[in-house]
Formats: sequence, structure tokens, C-alpha cells
Amino acid sequence: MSLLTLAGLTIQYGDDVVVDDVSFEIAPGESLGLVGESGSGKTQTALSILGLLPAAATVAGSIQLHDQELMGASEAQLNAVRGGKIAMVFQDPAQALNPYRTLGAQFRHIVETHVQVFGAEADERIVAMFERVGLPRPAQQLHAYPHELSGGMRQRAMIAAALITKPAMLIADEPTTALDVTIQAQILDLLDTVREDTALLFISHDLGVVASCCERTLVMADGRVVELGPTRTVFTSPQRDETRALIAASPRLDATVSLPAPDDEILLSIEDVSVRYAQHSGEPVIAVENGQATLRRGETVAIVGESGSGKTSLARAILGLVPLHSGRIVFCGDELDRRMQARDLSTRRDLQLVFQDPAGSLNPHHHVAQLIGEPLHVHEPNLSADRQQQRIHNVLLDVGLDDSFLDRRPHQLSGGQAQRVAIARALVLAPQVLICDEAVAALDNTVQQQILELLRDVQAKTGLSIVFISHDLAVVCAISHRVVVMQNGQQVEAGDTATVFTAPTHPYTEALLAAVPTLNV
Amino acid sequence: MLTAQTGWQRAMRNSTVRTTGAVLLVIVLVSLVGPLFADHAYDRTDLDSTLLAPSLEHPFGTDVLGRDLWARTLQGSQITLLVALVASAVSLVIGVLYGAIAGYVGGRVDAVMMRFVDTLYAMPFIFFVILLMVAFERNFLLIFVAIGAVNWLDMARIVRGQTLSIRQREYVQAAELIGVSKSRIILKHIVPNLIGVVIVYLTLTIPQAVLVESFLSFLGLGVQEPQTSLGSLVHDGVSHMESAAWILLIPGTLLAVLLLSFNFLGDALRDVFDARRSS
Repeated sequence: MSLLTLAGLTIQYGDDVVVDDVSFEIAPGESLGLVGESGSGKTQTALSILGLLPAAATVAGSIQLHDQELMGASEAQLNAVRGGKIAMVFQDPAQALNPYRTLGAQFRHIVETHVQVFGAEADERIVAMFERVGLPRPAQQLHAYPHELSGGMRQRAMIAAALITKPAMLIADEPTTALDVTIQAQILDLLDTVREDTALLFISHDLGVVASCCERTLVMADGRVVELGPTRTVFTSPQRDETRALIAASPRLDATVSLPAPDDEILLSIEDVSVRYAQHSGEPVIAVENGQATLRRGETVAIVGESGSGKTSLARAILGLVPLHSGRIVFCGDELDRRMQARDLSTRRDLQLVFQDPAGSLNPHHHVAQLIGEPLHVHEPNLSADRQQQRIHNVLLDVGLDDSFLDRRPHQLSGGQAQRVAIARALVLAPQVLICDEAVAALDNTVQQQILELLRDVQAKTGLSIVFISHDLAVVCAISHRVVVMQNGQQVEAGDTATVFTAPTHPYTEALLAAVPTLNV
Repeated sequence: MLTAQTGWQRAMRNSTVRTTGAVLLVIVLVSLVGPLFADHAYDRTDLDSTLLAPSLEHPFGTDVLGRDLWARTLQGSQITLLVALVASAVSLVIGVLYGAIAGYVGGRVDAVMMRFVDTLYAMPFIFFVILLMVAFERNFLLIFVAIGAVNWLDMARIVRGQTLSIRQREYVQAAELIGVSKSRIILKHIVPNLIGVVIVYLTLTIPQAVLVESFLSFLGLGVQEPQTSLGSLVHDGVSHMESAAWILLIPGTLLAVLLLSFNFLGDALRDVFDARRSS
């Protein structure tokens, strides 16, 4: 007897079919992983179960919970199911909690609505639940506002909110994607132990995460079910090309890539750099303390760390976007001015940045030709129109695009294409150093691999030096010669990538490496 | 970039833009060309034929002084449209640039520029108009100065607020890193991304300006008899609402059609110029 049965689920927006004939069952207490790249229809499928799709969607097929048909059920019937029988945990806990109400007020509402327990008894249950999900000082958390909790604690609170009604099923949509790896490991562990006999539908783009917490796995691609079976079978002997591609693209820490050997010449060196942010009251926040690093010509140095480790501040200090508190940055033998505005144009052209979010870093009103042409316009104003076109043409080829993209705007590009355009904009001036700030973090795994390959190719061809900021150890492993590990503004370890990854000396590095979910099932 | 030509083509693909644009165009053309073919002058009184109902001789009837309402409506539309044009031009050019510069440059420049706006805000509007009347001779051009002087203030504030959020966007940071000059960042990166807000706000500004104009005319500070505007025509019509309803209904309907067309056109244009929505 299955708990939830989906049969022939099809979701359309106009003529656009986003979910096509999806059928699967979940047994009571079972954990099913739903994996696929963005746009494969995973979230749409999950939202349809709770009747949360936007009005523009046309849904067909059948969704049965026990014997109750949810398709076409009234809003009142669905409300009884939502939160009570099926609960959901979203990706971003910061957006799922109401910032103006205490956790106690929000949880009491859930308990009163779905369990009909009130007053002190409700509070007792909530505190017991907080304790189960491992929130510190559970009784005090009743009076806490969401902003007083860290990201990991918020997600624990969300899981508590989902499980407090003892639902038959929990839908978790990328619940750990917004979290640091060490926190992610804790949350995955928690989900496994705390849910007891609640069934779990776990949606993720990360095969490693699914492998570590799900009994069965369903692979989706282009809105269809590609493969469904026990997790171990799906990942060890995949039957379909789509699954194999996902597995091949999934990040691993033992990847061996051949990187071109760097020169001995030191191009950029960071000497005792500290960055502090003044606060209106109290002590300044120390973002980076005594940062030390060197970058040789043709080398990639990765700066890794979790959120708040100071890695982005360090990158911005190199670019002069945030002022140094102390220390110096030496480029080609000259000390760089601390402020970007005070640096001359030729230094600025040699240090280029690629942002994390390609969509946000490209002006939505500009065509690709204008986006890539802008640096030329500024730095080589006397270039003839023909020569400028030629340069744009060449750099587009370098990043794996062609002239057909020239008159497209950012929203007409996929995430990977947009990031290629952003890289082209940075490369068109032939800089000596490229700084990538989480440049592949917002992309699907297969696209990530392509962008990393692109960067390696460009480096092999032009001898470009890269500072690669990332939280993702698997990505770092596939691109960098050397790695600097940061924690709370301090550098805890630095060395050759291979050495650091195989024989870490600092406990924090060890913890980071251990927390990365891998496909070794 | 959004060139004038592609912008026009994209706008013309939208059916709401086409319909409301056509309605506005017809009103503009008729109000400009119509008077050339009118049999009666808008200011000629004829006390023998007052408050006549619409007929072949007088398509819109006549008013209490026997003036031909067709001719007066055409003349009134001209004034009203001119007010709308001036108000939007001042809002667009001064308001948008002022707000964008204050918001983007920030710091002391921003503080000084916005305090100037606050000062103008604090001036009582009617007092300001009377002051203008005293300082210069009574002239209906003064309405445009008065409306123009206050209308860009709202736009400047809205644009400044929007600019503050746009300047935090990564594409602006990217442009700064490349070394793009301040003026180019404002013109190429900030102003184009303000279009949605500006157009919506403009559609609110135009009706406001038209209403302010009829209010001033009502106080005797605006359009002077025998000249008229749609607002004054409606005002005149109210006193004869029971005996000769058309005097109120005809200019009233025209004013409503005009304002609604501006609103619909604004909504549709915002969709057209939203870079993410158009394909």
C-alpha cells in the first residue's frame, strides 16, 4: 500500500510542457530522492503535490494520498493536507520564515491549526521539537526572531516546523543548497534521524547529497522520468545516458586534471593584508586578518572557505573595491593603490573580475555585442569599428560562443551562456589576472564542468593567472594549482591542491573535506 | 541597446499600445486640424442661441453664452494636451537626470540636491503661482512654468530611490571595475533600467498635471477666458448639468478617454520596455 501515488502527471504552461507523464509511488516511511538539472521539472512536480502551482499552469494526471485524490481537490481539502499530512521544507530558510514574528508565534500557529493543541501545552511540544532538531537553548528560541539564528539553525527550525505535526510525508526542496558544506552534513544527518516514520521526498541537483540520504532515486530530465530504482543501483549501474551524464558531471574530490605548469615569475602578491568593516557601534568586524598569498604567471590559486570566511573580502581588496586596513598588494613589482578609483586604467585592465551571478552582472538592456564592447570602448577608444568587431568575434570564439549571440540580451541566454559572456567581457582586454568570485556556484553541474574546462583552456592558451574564490572543494580540485583555506578571516592552510586534499594538516580542512557528499555509495 | 527604431518596432507589436496610441493620435490630430474647418470661432458669443442641443450646425451644442462647443472643445483639448506634453517633458528630462545623478553620485552631492527638492516641496503651491503672477505679467504660459516646476520633484525622488538600488547591482559594479566614466554609467547603465518605473510614474504625472491645470483655471490663475481647457469646460458644464447635460458630458468623456488612454499606454509601454519580458 503506497502512501503517495502520482500517475501520468503532466504540467504545461501554454504549449510549454515542463513535466511530462511522470508516475511514481512513495511507500510509508520511505525516502525517495528526486534529482535532475535545473529546468528538469523536479520542483514543479513537488509543488503540484501540494497544489501550489501558479494559476497559469495546466495540470493533468492523478495525485493520490492514501485514497484521497488531490488533483482537483478544493482549497479547503488541500489546506488540511498541507502542513498536516504533507509538510514542505524550502531551499532558503531565510525567506520561509516571517522576519517580524518570533519563532514561538509562528510555531504556535502551526500547532494550533493542525494539531489543535494550545497554550502551555503547545509551547511544550515546540520546545521538545526544537530539542530534537538540535537547536541550542530550545526554550529561549521561542522568543527569538529569525534574524537572530544562523542559516543552519534556521533550516533546523524549518525542519522542526515541518515535522511538528507528525506528517505522513515531508517534501524537502534543495534544503541544503543554501548552506555551507559542514552545516549541510549536519542537516542531512538530522533529516535522516529525526523523521522517524515520515516518508521523505528529497529534491536536489546534487547527486552526492541524494546518495547519502535516500533509499530510492528518481532521475528527471526535460520533464520526464529517466530512471527510477534503488539509489545504489541507479548510481553504480546507470541505464540511461542522461543519468550517466549527471554522474559524470557530479563533482568529485579525486578528479585528476592536467593543468599547464605555471611560470616562476610572481605576478601578484598579497602581503599581510587585513580588511575591516567599520560598524556604527562597537568594534569593527575583522573580515580578513593577515592574508598572505602569491600568484605566479599562468597559475590558478583557489581561496576556499565557508560563508563569512573572508574569501570574498580578500578578492575585493585585491580589486580595490574595499579598502585595506593594513598590508599591501603588489602587482608586477608595484604596490597597488588601495582604492580602485585611484588606480590607473592600465592596472585596472590587467585585473578583471567574473561575478557569481551571470544574470546580475550583465546589464539586462544591453546586447552581447555592447556588453563585450564596453571594456574596449573605455580602454581602447580609438579602435575602429571593424577592429572592435573582430576583437569581439575572437573572444566569443574563445569562450565557445559565436556571432549569432551578438544581438541577444542576457535574458535570452542560459545561465552557462551568460557566464561565458561575462568571462568574454573580462577577457576581451587580455588581462593578466582573472578573479573569479564563485563564478560557477550558480550553475548546473554539467555547465560547471564546461566553464571550468573553458577556464583551463584559456589558461593553457594565454598563460592567464586566475584567483578562484569558491566554497566548493570539488570545483577547486578541478581547476587550481594551489589552494588557500580560510576560516573566520584567518588563513588556516595553504599549499599545493593535491597535497592539501590528500593530506590536510589543519582540522578545519579535514572537516571540510569530510563533509563533502560524494557518490561513493 | 534599445535604439529608437527597435523600440518603436517592439512597441508597435503590442496591441494595447497600437489601440491607445491611435486614440491619442486621433485626439491630437482632430484638435490641431479641426479648428481650420470649423464654421464658428471658439470665442464668438451669440446670445440668441444659448444652450442649444447638439445639431448639424453645432455638433456639440452651444454654451451659456452661445459659443460653439465643438470649437471650444477642440481649443480646450489643445491646451490640455500641451499641459500634458510640457509636464511629461519636464518630468522626463529634469526629473530623471536629477534623480539619477543624485542617487548615483551620492554623499554630499545627493544631500544638497535632495534638500533643494525638499525646499521646493515645502513652498505652498498656490502661493508660488501667485508669486509668479505678480512677478511676471498674467500669462497663460505661467501655468506651464508652475506645473513644470513642481512636477519633476516627485519624479526626481522616485528615480533617486530606484537608482540607489540599481547602483548596488553587479552590472554597475562591473562597469565601475572596467573603468566606465560616471556619466556613461548613468546614461547607459542606470537610466535604461529606470524606464519601467519612469513610464509608470509618467502616466500618473500626466493626469495630475491636467487636473492641476483645471484647478488653477478654476481659481482664475490658469487659462483666461475666452480661451479654455478641458478642465475648465467640465467646470462650466457642472452649472448647467440639469438643463444641458451635454455641456458636461462631452468634454468630461473626452477628458476621461484621454486620461485612460495615457494610463493604458503607460502600462503597455512598461511591459514593452521591460527587458526581461520581451523576447
